[in-house]
Amino acid sequence: MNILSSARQSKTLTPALLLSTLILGFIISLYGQSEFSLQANDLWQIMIAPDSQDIKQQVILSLRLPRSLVACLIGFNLGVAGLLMQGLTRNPLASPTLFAINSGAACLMALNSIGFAFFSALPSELATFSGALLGGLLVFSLGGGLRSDSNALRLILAGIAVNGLLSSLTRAALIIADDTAYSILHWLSGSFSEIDWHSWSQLWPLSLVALLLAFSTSRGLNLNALGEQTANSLGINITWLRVRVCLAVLLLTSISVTLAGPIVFVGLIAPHLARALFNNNHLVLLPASGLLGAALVCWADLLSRSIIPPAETPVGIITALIGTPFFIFLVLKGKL
Amino acid sequence: MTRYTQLLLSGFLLLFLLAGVSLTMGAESLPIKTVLQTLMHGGDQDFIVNYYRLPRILISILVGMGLAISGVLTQGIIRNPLASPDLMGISGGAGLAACTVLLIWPNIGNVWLPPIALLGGFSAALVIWLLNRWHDPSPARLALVGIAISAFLSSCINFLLILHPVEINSAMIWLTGSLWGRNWDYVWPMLPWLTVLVPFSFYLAWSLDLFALGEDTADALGVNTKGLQIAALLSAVALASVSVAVCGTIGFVGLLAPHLARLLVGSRHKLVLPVAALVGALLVLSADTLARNLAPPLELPAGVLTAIIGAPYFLFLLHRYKGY
Amino acid sequence: MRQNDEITKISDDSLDDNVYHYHLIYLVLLMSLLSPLLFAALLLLPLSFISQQSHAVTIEHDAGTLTLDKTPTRIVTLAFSFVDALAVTGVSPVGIADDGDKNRIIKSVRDLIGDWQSVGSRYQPSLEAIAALKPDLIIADSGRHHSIYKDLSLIAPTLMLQSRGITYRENLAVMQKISRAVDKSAQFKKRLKKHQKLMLDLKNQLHNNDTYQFAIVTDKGMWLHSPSSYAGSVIKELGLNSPMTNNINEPYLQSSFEQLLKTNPDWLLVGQYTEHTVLDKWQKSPLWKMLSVAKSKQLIHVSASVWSLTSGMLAAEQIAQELASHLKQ
Repeated sequence: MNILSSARQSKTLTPALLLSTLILGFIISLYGQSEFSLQANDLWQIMIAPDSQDIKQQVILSLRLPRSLVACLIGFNLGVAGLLMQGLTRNPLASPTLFAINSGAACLMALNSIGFAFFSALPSELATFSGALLGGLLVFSLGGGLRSDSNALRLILAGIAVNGLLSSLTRAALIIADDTAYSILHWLSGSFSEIDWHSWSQLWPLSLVALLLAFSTSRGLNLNALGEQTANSLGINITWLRVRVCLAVLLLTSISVTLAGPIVFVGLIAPHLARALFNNNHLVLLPASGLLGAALVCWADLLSRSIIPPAETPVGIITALIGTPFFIFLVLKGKL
Repeated sequence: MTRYTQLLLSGFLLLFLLAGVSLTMGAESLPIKTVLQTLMHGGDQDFIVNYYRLPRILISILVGMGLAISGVLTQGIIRNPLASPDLMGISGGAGLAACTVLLIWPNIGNVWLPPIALLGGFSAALVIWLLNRWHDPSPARLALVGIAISAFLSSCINFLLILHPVEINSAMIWLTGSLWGRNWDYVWPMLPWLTVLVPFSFYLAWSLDLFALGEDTADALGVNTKGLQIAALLSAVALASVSVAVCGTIGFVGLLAPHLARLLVGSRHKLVLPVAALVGALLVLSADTLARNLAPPLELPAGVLTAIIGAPYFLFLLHRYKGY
Repeated sequence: MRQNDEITKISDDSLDDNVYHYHLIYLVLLMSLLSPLLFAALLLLPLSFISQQSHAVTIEHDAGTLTLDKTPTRIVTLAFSFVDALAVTGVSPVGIADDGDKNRIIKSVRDLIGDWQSVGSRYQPSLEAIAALKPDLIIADSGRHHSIYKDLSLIAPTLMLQSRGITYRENLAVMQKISRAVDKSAQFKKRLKKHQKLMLDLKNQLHNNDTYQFAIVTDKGMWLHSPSSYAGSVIKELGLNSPMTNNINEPYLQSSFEQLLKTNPDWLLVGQYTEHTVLDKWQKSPLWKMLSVAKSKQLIHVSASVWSLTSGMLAAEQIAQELASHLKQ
């Protein structure tokens, strides 16, 4: 904890370190662990001597670059979404997993893949996106998340019930899918292997809107942290704040899960680290948590390619492996 | 005859009727007369009735009872309405252990599954127990810990499945919970565990009623609280793990049955326990009967049906519940 | 030792006349009780000997050995590749675990067999439905159904054989076992010769130095089938080269676009599991033009159910002929 507290004191060092970790991860993931044995030098070559016929340069430009960009932006989204949820519910363990956003997306995706009823008519991205929204909205509405007198326990219970229902439907679909089961399962563990420029063009406009919405709530969240009554007396419309935060969270997580599958624990870890490193002002915390999430996902993606090459380990498994010890650490330190 | 006895009796009657229905229905519909004849004397339908449907019905009842009692004990001891073997990752731990073994040694015998599942269940329970000792989390937080642990365990299982793509189906069926292909060979290993654990749980229920008054009061009334906690938790874990070992992680039974029982007969464990056991048995039996009959000859995993029956009902309970 | 002595002494003592008579009476009584049985056994001995001569096979399978005294006529199969094995010898199964959809059996196999009853899904076949068919032989997948082997054996003699994750040659060995079980060894040998000749002819026709890769594509990704998978081993059997250099022992390998670029086969045969696949996306990328497949237009769409879902002699022939017809163009 010494390192953390001393880091908090230095105002410039921490953000600088954080940024450089992110940039380093970004650059390495552009050329690391490739079948074509790419080197850092190849990146340099692209800048000084672009050649559209060179396969190495093309791999970097049309496969690696969008993948790294998407990984970072999704990490950023998840970090911000996690912080918003925790800020709103004042619950340190709120995350997309809890709100059934991941399992909703997974369930509809799986049903879509096996061609169940009308789901097969939808394009798989749309099915996944609506699944994420459906899961999230179900939990919010059944758990009374939009009401001003909402109760954390009730929200959690609703999350558990919806999660349980959706995930057993997903399993049933997987059993029926049989031969395609392994391709669905790969997606269910979160993976960036199918990312291209098209995904990026789907991701950034929605993310931009959702992030702007998220940053607009930071003042409200700061006051909400003092307690709902205080916030109310200071002229914050709690219900309106809730609606905006929920909308931002749903957008951020749905678009992420649609493109890359459920990447667990990022929305949980990033906000906690951000709080440990910076002060409690949401204006600072939001970008900090986002950057931490981005760095985390970027490095996890890099790791996912290096564990059993040339096969890729799903990135969601890496984040779960990093996340659980961290989680136990939180519990032992009495942060829960 | 009190209202309670009436309730119990009608529960038994319902269970008996459902078992009868389950015996006659399936991919091959049999008239009641044939079923009775076969039960007594065997005959043409010997396999279907005596070797297939009968043991499955018995296992449904036993597993349902086991999960429900386990749920009552965990909720009683942690004094947490959200505690249940499946939510706290105990079923998940047992499932992961059994699943790992099944993927690595696909031809391992049935005999080995209960002890392995037991080991996994106990390890998960140990983590929960330590958390509870060190920190005493609030109900909601404990539930969150359970979710996080379950999320982690299911990531591990997914990873294992990706490494062994050929075995995905068998493992998935195991994880969802199914009574497919469960015969007498699965009944016998279960019985000794249950004959010890169920009466023991009834004995514990009496002490739990004192415990529910609060630890200090219980101490004053001469209940050995620490011993009670350990005994109840151990038998809860054992009951859940044995059930998981037989038919995989059937969800919602351990959570739902105690809630429903409490709604019917109040909060005294002595009264809740038998009713919860009946409800659990009914739930699993009806899920399995439906699993066989929805689209014969295709069979569905029973765990999906307990979730489909259980989740909406649980949400309904949630809607009515006022005691936050 | 002393105990033994005592026992001998007692039996010596008891051998006086009286007791001897009792023994005799007892023996006669016993004989008269057993005589019908003995008689029947004596009568049946030559009979059973004859029927054993006509058909008694012992087959080693994945759960032990199975001896069949008479030729099975009502057969239930729980995997697609076993249906192929029965079809080539002219035997029709009475029940198939076809996932409730008859079209799951490929057409060339369907054409050869009569109608059958569905016994449910391959992952959880309905034991009731199997029992109701009163089969006299069940052929089950040892990878999937080992947990119900005992139940299946209660219904009928059961063969546990491998169906998935095996190569062309291993599959032929399995088929041969099945033909022995149904007493069609001679027909099978004849058919096998024809099959081998066909494969050899095609092998000689197709001979070249290009590399060939079969892959399954879905909307979630691409899976390369290596030479240790079924389709891969058929390609190898035809004397065609595989572009894969490492991870050959893994039957299926998930492949990103980058890996496909590296593998860069001369011919890419793809079977689609879903309508839209990652291939649609990849083909729009500027990198697609760098694949030799794109340059020579040797990307071929094939039937996923023939190339990947099933395996067997008929499937292999169809794979080989499909390959040949594309190569000749």
